[in-house]
Amino acid sequence: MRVLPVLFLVLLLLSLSPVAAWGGSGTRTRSGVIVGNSFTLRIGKLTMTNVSNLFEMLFGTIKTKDVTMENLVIEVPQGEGTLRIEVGYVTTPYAVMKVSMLQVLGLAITHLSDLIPLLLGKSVTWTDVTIVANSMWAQNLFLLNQLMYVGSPDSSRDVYIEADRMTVSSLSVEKVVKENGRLSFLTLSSGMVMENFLQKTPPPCMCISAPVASCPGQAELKAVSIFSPSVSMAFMEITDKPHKVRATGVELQSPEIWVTYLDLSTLDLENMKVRPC
Amino acid sequence: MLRKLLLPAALFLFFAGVMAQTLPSPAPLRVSLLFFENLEQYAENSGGALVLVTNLGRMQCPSGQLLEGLPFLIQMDYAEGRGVQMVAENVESQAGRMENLRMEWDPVKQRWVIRADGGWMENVYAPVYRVVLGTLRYENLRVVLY
Repeated sequence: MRVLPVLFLVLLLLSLSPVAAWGGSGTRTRSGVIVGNSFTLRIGKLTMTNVSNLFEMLFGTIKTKDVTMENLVIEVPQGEGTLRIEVGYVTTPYAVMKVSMLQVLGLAITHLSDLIPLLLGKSVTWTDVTIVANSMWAQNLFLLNQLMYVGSPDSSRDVYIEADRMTVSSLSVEKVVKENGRLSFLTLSSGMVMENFLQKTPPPCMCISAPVASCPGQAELKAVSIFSPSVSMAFMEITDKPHKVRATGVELQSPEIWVTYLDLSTLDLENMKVRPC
Repeated sequence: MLRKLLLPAALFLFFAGVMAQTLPSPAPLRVSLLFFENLEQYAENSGGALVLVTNLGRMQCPSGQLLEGLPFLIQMDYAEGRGVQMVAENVESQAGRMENLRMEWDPVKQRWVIRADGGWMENVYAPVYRVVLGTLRYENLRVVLY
């Protein structure tokens, strides 16, 4: 009985032009900037087990378990620019992605030999995958070498923040903004705690350091880049348009953050030191 | 007679430091509890050295504080001031809270500024070069010359 849906899908695929199927829901210009309402995932190596049924898949919902991704690049068009997220390695036990029907068919055609194992719930591994998605979410993610950015930091203009460890109850990247010719991404977070926190301004340099700094209320920052060698998240999603990156239960090890602006509703500091540097 | 001369002498020495063009040796300032409003903090070059400037719209120290430096010691049980400017080597605090803290670029003065609407700091320590007070209300002022 399980072969029937597979046969149906194969017949459906054969009736479509592969080029049309690969088109996806987004339109791409020659410079690679995404035009439209979708975001793009480029994955160097993807291993996953499909757990969605044929009906769900045909309507653009891809449910997966035991997902690992290597060299992942996500490009999210937001506000006045594109937020880029690069991750060396990602694992998640469960992830769901909403894509267009054409995107599903495009993926199926490109990986036709994996179609039956995929539909039978076997683990498959693909390389150099590009997926144009409308939305996605995942649980209990673990990421190595995560870089989120809209541009290169400028040490003569941007404020640098580092910590040994940073935990955030909830975080949302709202949009990319352009101010004084510079791009930054507006990030709202709540319940932020930093251990061995250091903040440094450009010259004339001023350093603020504290073994513990916590912001129980809302923190608003306009970031140029956020890097962490190791990140875990209880939940993460990229919402349907307008795309927002949301995460809860976030823990970043040794984060390095470059910001153009910082606004914290309250900041509690223990053993704070402020000094010129 | 000697006691009557102590206060003017101490204040003269203190404000001589304030008015001096080059930075004097910093004097340790210790405050056990400080409440503040409209904090502004930035680094700037002064007298050839990089210093930390802290401006407070209003400050209140409900318990003992101390400005200690050779050859004087100034102690007050209670102090309340407005238009406070403190130029220091650095500022340390054992614990504190800053409300509505912003870190922003001041386009007029071309420097980064920390601003907070209010907050408090506990066990503040700062080696200060100078302190300027627009107004000061105090209780039980004691000035001691070594």
